[in-house]
Amino acid sequence: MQYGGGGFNGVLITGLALPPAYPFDKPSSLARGFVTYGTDSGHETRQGEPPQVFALNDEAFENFAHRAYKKVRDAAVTLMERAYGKKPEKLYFMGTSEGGREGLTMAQRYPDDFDGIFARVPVINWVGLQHAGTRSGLVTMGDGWINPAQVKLVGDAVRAACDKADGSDDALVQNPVACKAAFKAESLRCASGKTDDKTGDQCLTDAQIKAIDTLHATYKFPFELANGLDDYPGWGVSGEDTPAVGPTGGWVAWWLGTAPPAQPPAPNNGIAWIYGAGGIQYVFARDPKLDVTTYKLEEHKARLLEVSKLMDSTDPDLSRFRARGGRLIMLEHMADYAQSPYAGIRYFESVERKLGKTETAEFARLYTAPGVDHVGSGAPANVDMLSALVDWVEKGKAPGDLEVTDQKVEAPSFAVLRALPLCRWPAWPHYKSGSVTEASSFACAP
Amino acid sequence: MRAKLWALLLGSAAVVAANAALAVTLAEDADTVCKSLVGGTDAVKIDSAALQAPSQLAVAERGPTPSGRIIPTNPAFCKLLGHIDPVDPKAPPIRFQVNLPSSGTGVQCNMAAAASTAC
Repeated sequence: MQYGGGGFNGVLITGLALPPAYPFDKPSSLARGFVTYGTDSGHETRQGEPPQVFALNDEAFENFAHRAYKKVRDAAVTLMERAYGKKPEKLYFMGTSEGGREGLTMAQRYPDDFDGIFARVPVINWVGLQHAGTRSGLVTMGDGWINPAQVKLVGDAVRAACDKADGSDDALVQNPVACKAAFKAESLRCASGKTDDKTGDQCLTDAQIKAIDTLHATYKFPFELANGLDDYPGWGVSGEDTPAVGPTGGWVAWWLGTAPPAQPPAPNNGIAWIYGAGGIQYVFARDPKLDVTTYKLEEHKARLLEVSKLMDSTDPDLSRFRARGGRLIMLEHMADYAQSPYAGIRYFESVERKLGKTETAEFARLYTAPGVDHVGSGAPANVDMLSALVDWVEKGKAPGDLEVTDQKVEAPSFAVLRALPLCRWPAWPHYKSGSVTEASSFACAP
Repeated sequence: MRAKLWALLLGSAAVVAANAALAVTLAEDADTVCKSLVGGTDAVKIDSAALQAPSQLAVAERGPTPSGRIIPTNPAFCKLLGHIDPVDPKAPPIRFQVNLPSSGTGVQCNMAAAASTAC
């Protein structure tokens, strides 16, 4: 079983961590008999250096895009043959974030190499994501920046607008797609359009409302990128105020940080700015000294097209992967502010358009988890996708709606605090009756 | 049973003749087989190979993510650290880690149970 990476990689993936989304109390993949492996994808990030420096070398960047995962996969298979006297019967790839993109790119570029792939919150439409992330930073550089207390204000307002729509008053927005249409940041506008001592953090300025609307809006390119796409979908709503610790959390972790964006990006900036601004400098402009506020993407069109082809992982043609019996499970977290869940949703729908809805259902699934941030916090997010995938690949048992849990990080029981149905796109959990902490109190329906 | 297992293993080793350099498999003699994987002749090189003792579940005080705090219980396994040489001498190598459970067979135990006494 191959583990995917994260961020810009540059760290050796040991293959010893829990698989993506895995319940905390289940036996490890090694304990279940899997050979596990991972890679740094062909570069090592040095302490104190931006994570994108490696992109200045073409081979290192192509390794990051796709080659490293294939090379390491082939090397691992050879080692398994030498160790056990036979080839592995099945191969699996599981990854989160960048690792999820790697999973999808394996299905698209190397369809013969894996039998089962789990792509969780994949960072596809990669060129679009880096540009949209940078845009989100630029719009908060001056008066648009929103402080953590105001982030809480927005989180509360979203819950007030949408929490009860599924029938339960449980501080969770079960249908964030409908909520995105219903919630208007404008409703929090200060009477004067600006804050003063009296209004404090209890309302938003015009510049802040513009920043939120920008975050939610599509990012449009003036030309087409790989696979005919020319935009990046905007981010969703809910989980804005999920507490921030490193990559865990909502707006503060990923978008806003605890201080307005700086150049070069500072450690207390949102990660999207750190990733996006560095991406503009090292990946697209390939000019580490570039002032990102002066960047004009039209001047780098050829490079954008090149990177898009390498990194976007949006090829909807999974016919070869399907023909060889491959099985794909995608999972999107609806309160993810690292990448937009709408990118993965759109990709899945593009596969359905390309191969047919019924045909796609024979080998691929998309699940959406409401209220969950990029890494699995904020709402129930744990699910044994390894078993779901193995059952599908090896026993022909296709997964239906599943269940996600929120577990206490406390050994050995890792008590379940809350469980919810994990619905197949485009269904959401609707409240029926009973305790809101029990999955059986909800049913999946569009 | 033991004899039958040997026959099975030798049989599969004969089929993949190119890979029959090892007389025994990891499940038979974990330490020897694990250590024998060091080295390499092409671009792929194994820099270290060491058998790891079984380890207990641990939860780190802090971690970047909730699941990142959990270090799961692991059985004994052969830990390989290797690298793949770059084509461009200025590019860094691709580093990788492979973990081979010594009681498994390289596939899921439930699938391989018939051929393995270890599961």
